[in-house]
This record gives sequence, C-alpha cells and structure tokens, in this order.
Amino acid sequence: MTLYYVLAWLLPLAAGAGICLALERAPLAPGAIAAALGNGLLLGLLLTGTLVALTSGGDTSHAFQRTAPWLAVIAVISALVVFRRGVVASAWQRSAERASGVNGSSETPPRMSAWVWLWWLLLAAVVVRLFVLGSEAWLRPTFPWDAWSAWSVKPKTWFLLDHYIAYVEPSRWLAEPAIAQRTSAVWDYPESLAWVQVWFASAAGAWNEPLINLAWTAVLGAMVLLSYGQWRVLGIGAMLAIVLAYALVSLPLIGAHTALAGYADLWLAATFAAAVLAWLRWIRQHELAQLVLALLFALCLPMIKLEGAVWLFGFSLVVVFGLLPRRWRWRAAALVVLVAVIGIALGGFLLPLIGLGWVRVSWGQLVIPVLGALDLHWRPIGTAMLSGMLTLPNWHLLWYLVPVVLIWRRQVFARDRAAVALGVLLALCVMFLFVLFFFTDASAWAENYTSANRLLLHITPVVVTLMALLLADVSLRSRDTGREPPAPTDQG
Amino acid sequence: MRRVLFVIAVLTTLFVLLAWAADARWSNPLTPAERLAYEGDDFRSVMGTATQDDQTLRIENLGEGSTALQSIVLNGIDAEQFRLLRYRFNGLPHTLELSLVFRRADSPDDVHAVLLPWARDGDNWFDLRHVEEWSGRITELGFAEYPTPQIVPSSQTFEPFSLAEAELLSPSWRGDFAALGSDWLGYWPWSQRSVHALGRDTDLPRAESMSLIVALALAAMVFWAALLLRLRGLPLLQFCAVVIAAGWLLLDAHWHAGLRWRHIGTQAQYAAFAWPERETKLGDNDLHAVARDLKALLRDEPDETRILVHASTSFAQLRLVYHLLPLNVAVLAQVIAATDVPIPAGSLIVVYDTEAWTFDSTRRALMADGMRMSAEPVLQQGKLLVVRTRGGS
Repeated sequence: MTLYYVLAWLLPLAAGAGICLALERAPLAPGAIAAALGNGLLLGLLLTGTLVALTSGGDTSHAFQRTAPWLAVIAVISALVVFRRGVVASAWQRSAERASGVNGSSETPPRMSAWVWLWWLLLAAVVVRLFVLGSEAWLRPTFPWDAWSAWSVKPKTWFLLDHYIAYVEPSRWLAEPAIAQRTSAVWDYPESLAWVQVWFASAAGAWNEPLINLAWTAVLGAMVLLSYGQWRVLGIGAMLAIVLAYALVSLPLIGAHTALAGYADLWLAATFAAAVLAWLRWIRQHELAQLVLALLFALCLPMIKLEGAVWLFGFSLVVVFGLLPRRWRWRAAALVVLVAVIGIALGGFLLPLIGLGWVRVSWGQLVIPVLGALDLHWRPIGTAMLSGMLTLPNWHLLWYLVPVVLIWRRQVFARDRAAVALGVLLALCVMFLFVLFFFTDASAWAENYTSANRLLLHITPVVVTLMALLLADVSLRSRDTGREPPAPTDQG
Repeated sequence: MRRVLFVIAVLTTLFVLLAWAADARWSNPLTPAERLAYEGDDFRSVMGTATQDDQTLRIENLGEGSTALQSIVLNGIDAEQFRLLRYRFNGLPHTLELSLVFRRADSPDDVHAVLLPWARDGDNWFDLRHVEEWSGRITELGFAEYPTPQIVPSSQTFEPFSLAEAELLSPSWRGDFAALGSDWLGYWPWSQRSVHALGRDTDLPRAESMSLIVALALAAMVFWAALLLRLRGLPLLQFCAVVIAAGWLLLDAHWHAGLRWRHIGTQAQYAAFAWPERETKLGDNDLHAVARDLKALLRDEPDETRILVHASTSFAQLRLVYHLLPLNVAVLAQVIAATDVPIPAGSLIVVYDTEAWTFDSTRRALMADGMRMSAEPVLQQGKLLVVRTRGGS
C-alpha cells in the first residue's frame, strides 16, 4: 500500500470533513463531530469524483496527482474557517470541562455503568462487522454481475487508456466508425462513481479492484457514522443511536453490497440518508448550512444512479412543501394533484426529472427517455415482495418492526414536524416503489428477486432514521428511578 | 405459578413453530424406523482419484471436468420410504461445492443432481422430500465435489478430504429437526444473486424461513408475557426490548457465521497472492487467459476498430468484454439488438466457444443461425474464432 493510496483516503476525508465542520455552529452539539466525519467522508468522495472528472480527463493515470492539490487546498481553507469560527476550540473546551468535572459532572470519575458498557460493546460490534466486510472486499476481485458488466466498464477503460473517452449509444458507435468512441448496454449510466474508481486506481497505480472496492466499506462506515452523529444532533439518546447504528450495519443485504462491492445502491442509500438527515436538522434547528448540505447531497443522487432522480424529485417536492407557509401546504398539494389529474385527462403531461429527462405521464403509461415506455396495469407480486422483505434473510427483523413502531408511536406524528416531513417523504418513496413494482414491467424484478430489495435498500437508512425519531423519547427506565442512559462522551 | 405457565406456553409455542418449520408429521416415529447406512469406503470413485482409508474414502484429486464423484450402487430402494439423507465429510475445502447425484430405475441413463449445503465436519442432514426427482426406485447414489462455479477456478490448489459416511433414513421427528437445523445453519457460497436477495442462492426448495419463525416466536412470547405474566406498560416494553434484541442478535449471529465461513473460502483462494496474480485466480480464469492472448494479438489495432464479442453464454461474453478492456469492445448480440445500423467493414468479430458459429472458407463468410457475414479470418484456434468483416452484415 503506497503513500498515495493512504493519501487518497485522507484527502477526501479532510476536505469533506473540513467543509462539514465549517458548516457547524459553535458550540458543537453532541454527535456533531461524528456527523461531520461521516458526512465529510461521503461528501469528500463525491467531491473527489467531480474534481477528477474536471481535472484528469486527459491523463487518468495521474488523476491522483492532478486532483490531490485541489483537495488539499479545500481541506486547508475549510480548516482555517473551522479554526476561525472557534468550532474546534469550543469542542476542546467542552472536552476539557468534562475531564475536569465542571458542568455538573461528579468530582470522582463516574463508574462505567452497564449502559456505557453496552454502548461500547455495540460500537465494537459495528467496528468488527465493518472489518469483516472490508476484509472480504479487500481480498476479492470485483464479483457481482452488474459491477463488472456495468459500473466498472467506463472507469477501467478510462484508466487503462489513460484518458477519458465517450461512451455512446450502439447506433452511433456503428455509424461513426472513424471515431474512437466506445459503447455498452449501459452507456448512459451516470459517471460519478466511475471517476471515484479512477481516483483510487490512480492512487494505487494500477486497476487494482480490491483496493478500489474498499471505497464501498468506507461508504458503509460513513453512512453509519453520519447517521449516528446526525441522530445525536437531532436529540436522539446515545444508547438508541448506537443500537440503531448497529441495526443498520448488521442488515445482511447492506453487508452483501459492502463485501461484494461494485453496485451503486449502497452509495445511493448513504447519499440519500445524508441529504435527509441534514434536511431534518434544518427543520428542527433551522441551520441554513444544513439545508445547503442537504441540497448538495440530494443533487448528487441522480449523478450516482438513475433511480436517484426519483429520490431527488420526491425529496425536492417535500422540501419545497416544507418551505411553504403552513396554510398554503394543503392548497398546494391539492393544486399539484389537480394539475396532474387534468394533465392526465387531457392526454398526459411532461415532467422534467434531473437525470431521467422529460418523463411523459399519461393514463396507463409512463414514458421515461432512458427506460422507454412503461405500461401501467396491476401485477400481483405481493407474495414475492413480502417474501423478499420478511422471509428471506435480507433484513433481519426490520420490516416486521417498522409497521409495529409506526402504529405504536403514531402519536409522535402529531407533535413532531420532522417526523411528519420524513413520514411524507417516505410515503412518497413507498408510493413510487408500489407503482413501479405493482404496475409496471419492473414487477419481474420483484418476482425474480433481482432489483426489488436493492431499491428498498436505497430508503432503508432513512426508514431507520424515522424509527429513531419515533422512538426518541421512549424510555426503558421508570421515570422515578433513573435517567436516560448517558452518552459515553459528550461528542459521542 | 404464572411464571411456570409462561415458560410452558413459550416452550410449547417454540416447539410447535419448529415442528411446523421442519414440516414434521405427528404420525412419524421419534427416531427413524429404517436406515440404510454406508461407510465412506462402500463408495467407489467414479471421477477423480480416491483411496480407502479406515472405513472412509479419501479423495485425493479431482478428475475430468475438475470434478470428483463417488457413488454406490443400490438395489432399487424406495425413494418415498427414505427421504432423509445424513452425510458426513471430513475436511471438505471451503472452495468446493457439493452435490448429491442419483439415478432412478425408470430412467437409468439420467443422472439427477441436487445441490447440498457445504458439509461441515460432523453430521449434515438433508430433507429430500421437496426434491421432485427423488421418487420411484433409486438405483445409484453418489456425491460430486467441484470448484464453486463462477467463484473458484478449476486450477485452485486441491486439498484432500474424506467421505466418512452416508445414510438414508425413513421419516422421523429427529431427522426432520436435524434437517431443519442443517437447512437453517447450512453454509452457501456467495453467488450472483447475493446482492439481490440472500437466501436465494439456489433454486432448491427450502424449509420455512428462519426470520419468519423468529418473528413469530417473538410475537408469541410477547403475547404470553402480556396474558400470563400480566405485563403492562414499562415492564412489557422492557420485555419487548429484550426479546427483540435477542431475536435480532440470533439472526445476526447466524449471518455473521455465514459471512465468516465465506471469508475463509475467500482467504483460501486469494490471500496468498498480490493483485496482478489475484486476477488470475478468478472463477473464469479460462476467459481471462483467452482475453490476455487476444489483447496481445490485437495490440496494434487502431483504437477505432470495433470489436464485437459473441460467446456461448451471456456470462462468458460479458466477462470477455470486461477482460478485453480498454479495447474498443462490445457484445455483438446487444449491439445488433439495439440498432439496425450495419457493422462497419474492418470490424473484428470474436467468437468463443460456440459451435454454431463457423467460418466458411469457401464463401469467405462467418456463418451462424441463418446469418452470413462477409469476413476474412484473423485467428482460428481451439474454441476461439476471430474474423474481420469485409462489408455490411
């Protein structure tokens, strides 16, 4: 492992975490550092992909050398901002105060309670799982079908050719034989991840698949860390946050996507979760910087995978509704529905979706430029869907518990604006999946167990976040005998 | 008293759920009424080399097609009567897949194969009730071992192992529960389906889902706690938290054990090699070698030259394309299906391992399935055919 490869990890982390910390308010809330590190690693990797695309198209084997200075500059500037704003100083001071027993701490060091032991045990379980999954990815060449037949085709070509080359549709490829362009069945797939792969290949000095694929383990780590951190900032207790973080990392399908790296679904899930969590912070704590971060992550969605366009659309819709004055929201919702109904009644309407183009919606048919015409009629695939969620070992007990918690904690929706907003967003996502699988030919993906679970994976971290909000004020201790389990550290 | 009742109710519920999952019949005896037991050295080696060693059969090498096969001739036993299989191997490598093979009296020329979970040391059980082909009179029974398809190359270093014993048993409670245990705890290697839906690694009918049984068991425990222990409010909530955590941990421990097992196989296959060598240890290393030779052959081709690949399977043609990168390469079938634009003159067509595609030297054309393409031969070697097109297709 070379110095370049180590720097290929540190620079995106430093640049991304620097940006995220610079967006934090001083004093830092509990969990803010974890959130900044998790968000930062993800943002840093996506930023790196963008910078590689901008700087290294003509010299991909030196993508590291061409892009690293930019990342270093971003890291330094954001570090200066962080220090100027006193973010680090405030964190340092709080840590020192805690160590010296100020601010209500007892003068003698507290004994490790059972809850704290449990917290550390769960953290260890998270780390062990990440290590095992990472070890598998680190040994194995790219294995899953779409990873080598779709997602790695462009970056491998660009890296080995030493320059970018356009991928075009087959007809153009055949019609223009004098031009050295390439084609593939997935020529129009987004290219963000391809550039991230070029970055790691360049740093490794070869098309070294295991070293490239470790990025998937990092993304899972980032997803867990940012979820834990943002949950803490949102006021979720340390114990519940670590339990849910462990639950998230333990889900078998997420583990499979990490160990058998190469699909874009995990990246989409992490980025969607990052966007939603930053947005929830804006709703709860009115931090404009978090809204900017949320929009940044959301805009990355269609650049990762085509389905990201749909998640971006749903997310944008709910964010815009959230920005409207309360009395206008129902009217706006009714207006949208009315316009859609009239549009369909008049023969259909066009809907612009970033990444998918102009989608034509009409009665009984959806025409998506990159997918073609989808005829809408009922497909009875409920058994296959339920089997994928409930009986196959993909999700442990998650989909059994979600409806139970939703029903049990339904009263939270009446008083928590963030839970309502998140509930509406997830309802839109579920509605999309329902239409996709029960009304289009995509039902075959559910029947043959190919894509249905992977699409569920995209929203799973967000579903876990909804569980966190709903369970936030549930206490397992009686009110007169104990407090909520404390966090092991204030920043934890 | 309530606690005793609660324990009885929970144990009864668990027993009923497990019996349902195992598809156990009330009429079955506790232990098998009839057994047909075979020592390892009762089997003969049909493929590969094996020696008899203290009642076991020690398999020392794979044979034709990188497969070892051991079988025993039976006297037309009744499949309905013996529908449980118990088998024991010692030291079966993680890199080998295991299948049960058998012949029936009604179709003696047909060999039926059933994929089995990897055999850990000790007893492994398999319920043959759901295997459609397991019917009538069985005349031959055997085990086949071979490198895990698409994962382990045929050139993988072989480690000897032993077939210790096998037994066919009539239905019983003990057998049904043991088969359920092997089904739930059996190890399956990664497959192309693993990123879509775990537990769908084979098309084999399986026992009831472990997740479902755990969920039902947890629900039942909460129900009995509320009814018999009269737990309400916080105590009930605490009880729910504990049983849900226990259920989740149980499922996760199971998943983690499978993950560890797969990782041991991955280590055996790759850990001793650095990257460039690791790439040659793939399950499709034959395609990798073909691509390497082709790349050498085509190293002076202009970058504009279109190269279209056709092979016997989608897997083979897509893998060849991937291994041939960064050449200007695409899958012939995909390109033809996507457009009517003719293939430009001067393009290269690579055909691998398809007998239906041939080069007709008299007509100077590539012929296949009624299609004719004017072409000049570039290379014809073994399963590989490369031609250069002369005109439109």
